[in-house]
Amino acid sequence: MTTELELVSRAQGGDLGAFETLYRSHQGRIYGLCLRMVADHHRAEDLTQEAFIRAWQKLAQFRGESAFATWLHRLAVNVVLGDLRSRGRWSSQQVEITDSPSLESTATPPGSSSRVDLERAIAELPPQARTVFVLFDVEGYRHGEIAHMTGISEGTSKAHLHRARRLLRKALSK
Amino acid sequence: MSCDRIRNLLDDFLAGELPAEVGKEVHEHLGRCLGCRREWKELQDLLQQTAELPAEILPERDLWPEIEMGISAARSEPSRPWWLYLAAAVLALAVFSAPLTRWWLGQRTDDAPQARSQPVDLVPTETRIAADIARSQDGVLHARKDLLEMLERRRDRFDPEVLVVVEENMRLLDEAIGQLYLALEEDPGNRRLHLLLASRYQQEVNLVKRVIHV
Repeated sequence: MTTELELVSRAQGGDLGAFETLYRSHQGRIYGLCLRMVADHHRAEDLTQEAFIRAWQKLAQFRGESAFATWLHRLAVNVVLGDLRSRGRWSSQQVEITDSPSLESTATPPGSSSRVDLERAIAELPPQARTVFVLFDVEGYRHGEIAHMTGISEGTSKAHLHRARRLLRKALSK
Repeated sequence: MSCDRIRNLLDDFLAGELPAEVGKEVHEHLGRCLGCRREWKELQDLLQQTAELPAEILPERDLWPEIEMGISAARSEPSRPWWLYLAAAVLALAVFSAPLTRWWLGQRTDDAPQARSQPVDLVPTETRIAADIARSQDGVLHARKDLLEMLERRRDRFDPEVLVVVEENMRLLDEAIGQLYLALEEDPGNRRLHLLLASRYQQEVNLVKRVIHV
């Protein structure tokens, strides 16, 4: 069985088939990240594509010092943050929320209604609070890393997280 | 410490980031204050629910063909000196100002649909680029054709006002596509033009999909 490192190595050598295999195994994680961060499934699709195209272009820079998934994930976060900045969404207080059918059409295990409620509530958060919540509570980044990636201070990151959690508790208790 | 102050400290308390003395105070407060204890429970529940969210969400459609197309275009593009990028920027400006110029001159853009249906005239060095991109575009074009036929078959089921808006959007997208094909005749290897073209086709597909699935 081919390991992920072998696939990465083949992709670094120009093997597009190997890169497609990597895409197939990581698409759900990257699309999920993009969707939760931008709350719009069309934009999430575009950003997923952009992230993988950029990953292909930067593959030579991947030295295996971290897991490929970690490297790819960080790259995708930067793609989304770049998009939010270019749209002025990182600094704005309001965001258009569009329906996210992906959140409802995925598997529906027991207790999924509360999961959908939570996904919807996350989508309705103000952009900065949503970004910090997704990066910290969903994706497991620390405030120092978030501050570094977004250009805000750690204190501001904590304040956004506090606000996001408060708004989510309020939304879920309705 | 007031309840407001305690509630503002709950995130740090949860993360174990409070100085020992303050943490002890929060702990004791939670033991005797029902309201703050309820907040504390809600916070824990929220984090539990968040931890149970699936790490993966699959996109509703296969994104690989467009990724492959983007990669093909990127890898076919040789590195160029800075002045060529400047020239490309000027060309792009000319392309996007073309509709405005045509309007200004009072000309019609009747040639756009014909241009779209004709193959791009390629110079030999660019054949491989165009072949890669054309293969990737095939999927989108087939999807577009099927969706447009479906839209036509179900036309009577849609609100006429919606159809007017959709058709106007389709017309604008078609016009943009026509302009892009004209620009590609001039510069068949321009990656950005190919990506814009793919993006406009995809917008058409998404637009029709949205209408059909409403």
